[in-house]
This record gives sequence, structure tokens and C-alpha cells, in this order.
Amino acid sequence: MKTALVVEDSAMMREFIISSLSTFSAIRSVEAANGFEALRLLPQKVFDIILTDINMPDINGLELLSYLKNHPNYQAIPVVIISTEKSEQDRKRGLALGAIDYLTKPFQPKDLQLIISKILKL
Amino acid sequence: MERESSKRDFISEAEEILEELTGDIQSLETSIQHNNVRPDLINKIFRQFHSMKGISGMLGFQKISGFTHELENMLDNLRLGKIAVSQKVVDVLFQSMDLMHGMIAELIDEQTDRIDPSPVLKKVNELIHEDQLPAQQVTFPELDLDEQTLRSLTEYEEHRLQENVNRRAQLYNVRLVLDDATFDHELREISDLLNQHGEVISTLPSFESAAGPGKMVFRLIYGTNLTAENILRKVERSDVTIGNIRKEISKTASQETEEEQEPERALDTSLKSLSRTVRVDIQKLDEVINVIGELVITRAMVANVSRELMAAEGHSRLGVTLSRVAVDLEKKLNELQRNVIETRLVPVGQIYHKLGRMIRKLSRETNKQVDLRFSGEDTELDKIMIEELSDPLMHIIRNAIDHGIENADERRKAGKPERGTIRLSAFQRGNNVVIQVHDDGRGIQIKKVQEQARKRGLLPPDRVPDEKECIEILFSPGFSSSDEVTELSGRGVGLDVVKKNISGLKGFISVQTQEGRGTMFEITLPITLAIIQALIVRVGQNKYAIPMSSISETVQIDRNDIRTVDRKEVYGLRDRTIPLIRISEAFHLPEKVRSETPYLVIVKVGEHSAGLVVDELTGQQEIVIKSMGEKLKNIPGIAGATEIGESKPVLVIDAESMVEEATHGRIRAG
Amino acid sequence: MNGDDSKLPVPATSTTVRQAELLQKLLAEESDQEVSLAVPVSIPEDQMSVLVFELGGEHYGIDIHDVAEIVRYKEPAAVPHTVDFLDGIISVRGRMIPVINGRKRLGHEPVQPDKRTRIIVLQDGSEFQGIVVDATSQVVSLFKKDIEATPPVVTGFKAEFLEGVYRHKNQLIILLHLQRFLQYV
Repeated sequence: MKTALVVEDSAMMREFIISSLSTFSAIRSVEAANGFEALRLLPQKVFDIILTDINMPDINGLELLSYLKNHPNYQAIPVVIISTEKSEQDRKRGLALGAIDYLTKPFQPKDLQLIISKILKL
Repeated sequence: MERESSKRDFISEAEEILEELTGDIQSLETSIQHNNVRPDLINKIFRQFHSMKGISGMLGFQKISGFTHELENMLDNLRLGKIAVSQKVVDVLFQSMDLMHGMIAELIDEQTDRIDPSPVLKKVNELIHEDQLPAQQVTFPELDLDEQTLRSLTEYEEHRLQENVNRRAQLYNVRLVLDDATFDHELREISDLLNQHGEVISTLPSFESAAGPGKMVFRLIYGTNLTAENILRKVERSDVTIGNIRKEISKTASQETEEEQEPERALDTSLKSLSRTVRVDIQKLDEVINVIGELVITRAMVANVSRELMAAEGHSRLGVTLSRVAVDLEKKLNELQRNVIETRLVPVGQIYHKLGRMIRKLSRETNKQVDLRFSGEDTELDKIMIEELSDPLMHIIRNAIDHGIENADERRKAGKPERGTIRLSAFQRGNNVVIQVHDDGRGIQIKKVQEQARKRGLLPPDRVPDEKECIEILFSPGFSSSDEVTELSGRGVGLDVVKKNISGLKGFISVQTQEGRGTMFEITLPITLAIIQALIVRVGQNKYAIPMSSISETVQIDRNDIRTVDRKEVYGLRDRTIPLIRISEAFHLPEKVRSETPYLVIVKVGEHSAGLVVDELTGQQEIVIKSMGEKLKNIPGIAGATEIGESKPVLVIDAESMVEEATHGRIRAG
Repeated sequence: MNGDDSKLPVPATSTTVRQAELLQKLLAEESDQEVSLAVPVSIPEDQMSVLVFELGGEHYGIDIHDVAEIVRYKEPAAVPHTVDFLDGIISVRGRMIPVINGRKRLGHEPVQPDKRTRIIVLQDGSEFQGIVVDATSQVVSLFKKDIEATPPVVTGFKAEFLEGVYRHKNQLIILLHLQRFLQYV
């Protein structure tokens, strides 16, 4: 059983992502509505993959990513960043910071599923 | 995601976003006029269009997603400083709001070409290409920023940083060490505080083992005109370190203090609150209502004095004036009461969203296709009640999905549409708010209830309950009509808890059901527990208050007209026979003397009536029902207590439970 | 033993001392007003301030932190369908407070209230409770380590309400376990 952390501030987007993930019976999803919630959840469970939006209030996705990659406990967790097609610079930054892959909105469930199955080998 | 329900979800979320957006655009307009536009407002508007675009794109609503895409572009340029904010922009935004409302309406009505967004789109594109300001520098050689921070800035944050550099604001690196358990509140508080005096450009959580276990470290980039000492003073915490990011030494000390004394106009950030609402602690509201309650009593005393004065001195000038004053006072108090009570009222729609999400989740988990329909979102209820309602409602809905709605196969066989429907409606009925949960499932199955009841010894084996009794059984503790323990609804236990919760709110719950067709739960609640009109009665040595809203009439009778049926007292009122309850007995009062000509206070609950037997009606007055505390919350027959300006408080009678007791007793006796 | 005055604990802050003195003064007066106390927060861990009152000729004590105020006796309104030692409810500044009869709770015969009778109003978060007592006397500061176990002589249901005893200048103060004492449905 793999656990995924979905960090995304739009409730509907979150649901969309989680239901796309639900096609994998081996994945259990945990949701966070913002960076703070994610920071809270991180020490509580062992996550096998993290999906985070970049555009969020307070702590944005890049800041979260930077924190993860500098933290000994979390740096090995693969992170997928979700951005808009327009913010190429942010995307580049994210990959430079260590994100393993990215998705641009809008995306189809199968795009997400493809990335996930590659990363988690499902 | 199923088409119809996701469309509905989208519409509801889109409408929420639009509402928020409209308010934000208005704020933007105001701030342009006052020349203090906040960058985070623009960013917020950007993110809202971004959300809209994302969601509509996912669901394939091309028209809407295409339109919002362009708007998102425009807002992105705005926030990155590539185009200037102006009234033109605001106008286009307002026009876009209208268009979007229209496009959503189109979606609801399943039309496609009522709305033509191209004129507005043209304007948007013009704006995007019109005032392009020169491109920004994105390196910061004059700043002392570490690699890690620099690399985690988004394009937007870089722009904000550049802006602050351009404005010659001071730039600081604020390092905070916060506790694991409370960092989010504290960080929010500190950010809010800092944002009042400058701009928090970025917030970076940072792993630093030196901070120790149980701590989180955050590094903020902060632009402001304050000095470092000032910042430290304002933040009032011990674990803050501040470093100046600007490599060049700032201007002379005198200029610093000068800038400090000036209100922070130079920074172009606004100290004005953009919100027109205030958060109020419910306890404060309660205190205000308490004071008003006492004012009500004082007013009654003034009215008393005025009456006595008139009686003693005839129509003296003083007496007449006093009485006029008392009337005026009453009018103003009523208005005050109304206003305060209304502050506690919130629309029921607030819990609809929460419930909607849970229902979607549940229907995914149970593989039952369920549609949700809401109505009466604007019906208002006291805030506390709304919060207390969400658990009972969730429970009822959970039961409906779990036990009520059949799976697609069964439904098809029964000739029902494959998708089940759960309808939540709220409306006002007199002094009450009624909330109904209706499902078109298989209804409560009397046979199953019978079986389970017999199994649990709740019913003697030879007894065949009628529908009413079945429902009573459902509400008794420890009952479940499901054979297995499902993860979903626990043991299906809890309808008794639901009932208790509702009674705790001084409401009641009823059920109607039809096998094969569906079930409806109806919850009736008083709109607010605050100030109500009550009849004060005397029974023996004690006085009680009965809320007028429960009373249908009062009548004085002759003791001899009371008849007895099945050892219960009844009275023939016109064409009906009404069961009687002697308050002196119900409350175990010591008095044995029974009046020759008692009064009957006829209370009505739903279709049932009962007559409460009292010795005297002493008057009508406005009261505030007060809770008697947790321990005395669930005393049968008592709704609470109140002050009526006498030495002891007076208990308020819960008419509904009295009626239930009277009619209930009859059913069992049969 | 604690007969030795020099070993009496000194309350930690000056506010605590002032409050305690004020309370003692007020209790000694026959004032017309209702007495109210704001209890200071800083008492060191190993100490406790106890409000002493009388019931049935004996002296009892409760932690002053739980006390919201002390009011003169007023007749409560009876509430049906509750335990017999609940005298009823009183209204204090618009708040309805259930009041239990201390004497009945401890198994003493109830008596008519007199001018010394008081109602101690306890507060636990947002919940309030009152106890009718024969009289309130003083506030005593003590070290927790000097609290002795309830003597085995005390048996029966009364024992479960007691948390221990403390000797104060030849007076035996019986410390109440408030939670159990106030437990009823």
C-alpha cells in the first residue's frame, strides 16, 4: 500500500486528483489544502509520493519543495509539481529544486496516472 | 466522475468563486481610487481565475475554460507588473463577471450559444498587449540572499522582491523558530502583523537541526520601512532573528527614523482592512444577549412602576411621561434584540457544502450512484445550531446512502432511475426552521425492523408494530437495522443520539417513509433560542414559563369536566378529546390541592395536542431561555430556565416533550 | 507536622497574597454585595490555595482555582427529575447555575439557611456549579506534600469524595475531590 500526499488549495482540483489516483487500488491518498497542512502531515505518515500545486497562498509549492529536499527525512520522497502551462520559469525552478516530474493544468486523469505508475512502479 | 453530479459540483464551486471574485474586484476598484493597491489582492484574483480555469478545463467546459484562460493571462501580467492596474482593467473584470454568470447559466440550461464572450475577450487582449512595461531584472546582485532561498522563489515572488528593491524599502531576512504544535496559527498571526507594516514576500520553511526537536524554522523575506529593532518590538517574540539583506548600508540614521515616523505610505501597501465583516466570538454575542435579557426585565419593572404610579395618582403628568418612556424603551429594546439575534443567524447553505463533499465521497466508496439536490440555502439559523446540526445530518445522510439507496441493479429492477437522489431542503415554518432529508431509496422496511427489534428484545414476539411504533423503535438506543457492521455507519446505531442532539437544540425530529419509495427525515428547530414570548403560569407555589409559540389556546374549565379514559385524564374540547397532563404530577410537586377551576394550556406539536393543567395564568412576557448547564440539559419537560424579575428563576416548559409524553403514553398503553 | 508557622508556604506572587487577603476580609464582612474573586494564575506547582468552608460542623477545602465566586444564599428554583441533593437553580447575573446541597451530599441532615449560609460557585471551563455550604471561612495556602491521606476511620460513600486531609493550626481540613463530589446526572 502506497500513500500519496496531495497538496492543492482548490477543493475541486484536489478531488479530481484524488479520484484520478483512486484507480490505483494500491494507493491511498491523503489531502492537504495548503502548505501548513502539508507540514503538519509530513511527520505523521510515511509518504511514498507527494503531488503539490505551485500556486498556493502562504507557503507555495516551490517553497515546500525546497523544504522537502533539504530535510533528511523527506528528501528521498519523489515530488510531482503541478503548474500552469504559462509559468515555465516556475516549472524549471521546480525541476531544478529536485521535483521528479511535473504536470500542467489542465490535465487528463491518464496523464497523472501515467506519471504515477512510472514513479511508483505500479 | 459522473457527468451530472460533477457538473453540479462545478457550478456550485464556480458560483462561490465568482461571488468572492466580485467582492475582490470591488475592493480593487476602491483601492485604485484611494491609490493603495495591495499586491496580494491582485495575486488573489489571479489565483481565483487560475482555479476556475483549471476546474473548467478538467471537466471539458471549453467555453468557460477558454475565457478564463485569457483572464488568467491578463491577471498574471498584472501581478508580475507587466501591465499597470487601472480603472480600465477593473471595468473589463466586471464585464467578465457578468459574462461568466451568463456562461454558467448557459451550462445549467444546457445551451451553448446564448453568450458571446468575444467583445470582452477583445478588450482583454488589448489590455494584455497595450501597456507592456519594460521587462524586469531578475538577478539581485545587491542583495545578500542565500542560494536556497533564491532558488525557491516563484516568478511572482521575484517580481515582488524587485518591486521592493525599486522602492528602496528595507529588506530583511526574518528567521522564526516556532513550535511544532502551533506553527500555523503563530505564523499566520506574525505574517498578518508584519503585512500591516510592510510586505512579506516569501515564506520558506527550513530544516535546521540546530533548532531542536519539536520546532519548525521559517525564513521570511520581508520588505518594510521599519528598522530591525522596530520589527522585533512589534513581533514580541524571543526566538526571532533579523538580518538585513541589503548589502549597501542604508542611509543615515536620521533618515531612517524619519521614514519610520511617516505612515508607511512610501511602500504603497494599504493599512486599510479590505474586509467589511468582523469576526465575533460567539461568547461575546451571548454576553450581549444576556445584557439585553436583563434590560428586558428592567423595562418590565419600569412599566410596572408606571402602572402603579398611574393607579396611585391618576393621570398625573409624571405618570403619563413615564409610561410613554416605557413604551419607547420597549420599542428600542425590541429593535436591539432583533438586531443582535440576527447577528447570530447564518444561512443553512453553510453546511450544505460540507455535506455535499461527504456525500460524494460516500457514493464513491459504496459504489452507489447518488445525486444531491439542495434547496433553501438561504434559510437562516442560529450559528450554534448549524454547527450542532452537521453531525446529526451527516448521520442521517450516511444511513440513507448506506441502507436507503439501493444499488443500480436493484433500482433498475424496481423501475427507478439508476441514480438515487437525496434532497436536502430547508425552509421557515412560523417560528421554526424545518430541514428535510429526503431519499428515494427503499424506505424503512418494517419487516426488518420487526426482526431486529424482536432479536434485541425490544418487542414481544407476538406483537406487530404499526408504522409509528417502528419509527419509535428505530430511535431507541442500541438499535440497528443492518446485519453487518459496516465501516460506513458503524453499527447503524445513533438515531437515538441524533434524536438526543436535536432535543438538546429544543427541536424535534420526525420520519415519514414508504416501502419501496423512500424516506424523509424532518427536523424542526426554533430559529433561535434567544428571546421569545412566553406565558407565565402558576402551579401550586411555583411559576413556570411556556413559550407562546407552542400554545394554541388557553381555557379555564371546571374540574368536573375532566374525564378519565384508561386511567388517563382527558378533556373534551369542542369536537376533540385532548389528553391532559398535570404539571404538579409531572414535576412531582408536593401540593395536593387541586383547583376547582383550573386552566388548561393547550399545546400543539405537529398533529398532536395536549392540555397542561395549571392553577393560574399570571401573565405574558418576553423571556430569554437560558441553559441550565450540561448536567441539566436533558430533563424531560424542561427547556431551560429564565429570569422574570422575581426572587427565583423560573423553569421554561418544553411543550413538545410534554406532548410527546402524553401521546406516547397512549400508544404504549394500547 | 505543620503546627510550625515558620514553615507556612508563602504564596508566590504579591497578587496572590493580595487576593487571598482581600477574600479573607470580604468573607469576614457582612456585606450586601455578592463577593467575586478573580483568581491569579501563578501559584507554584508544589503549592495550593484552598478555600475552607463548613458543612455539618466539619471543615472542608477545595482548590481556589475552581472557585468563580461566593454569593449569599438565595433560594433556588426546584428542578424536577434530578437527584435529591440538587436544591435547584439560581440565577447569577443572568446565568443559570445548578446548586447542590452540600450537607445532603455528604449525608448530613439539611438545615434552614441562616445569615452565614453561602453558595460557592465553581467553574470548570464554561460550566458552572454551586454548592450550598453552612459558612465559608478562609483561604489557606499549603504545600501539597503536607496533605495526608484520608484516615481509615472515614468509610462509606463519603470517603470517595475525599482527596485527603490537611492540618492547619489544630484544625483538620478535609479536602474534597471535586469531580466525584459534583458527579451526578
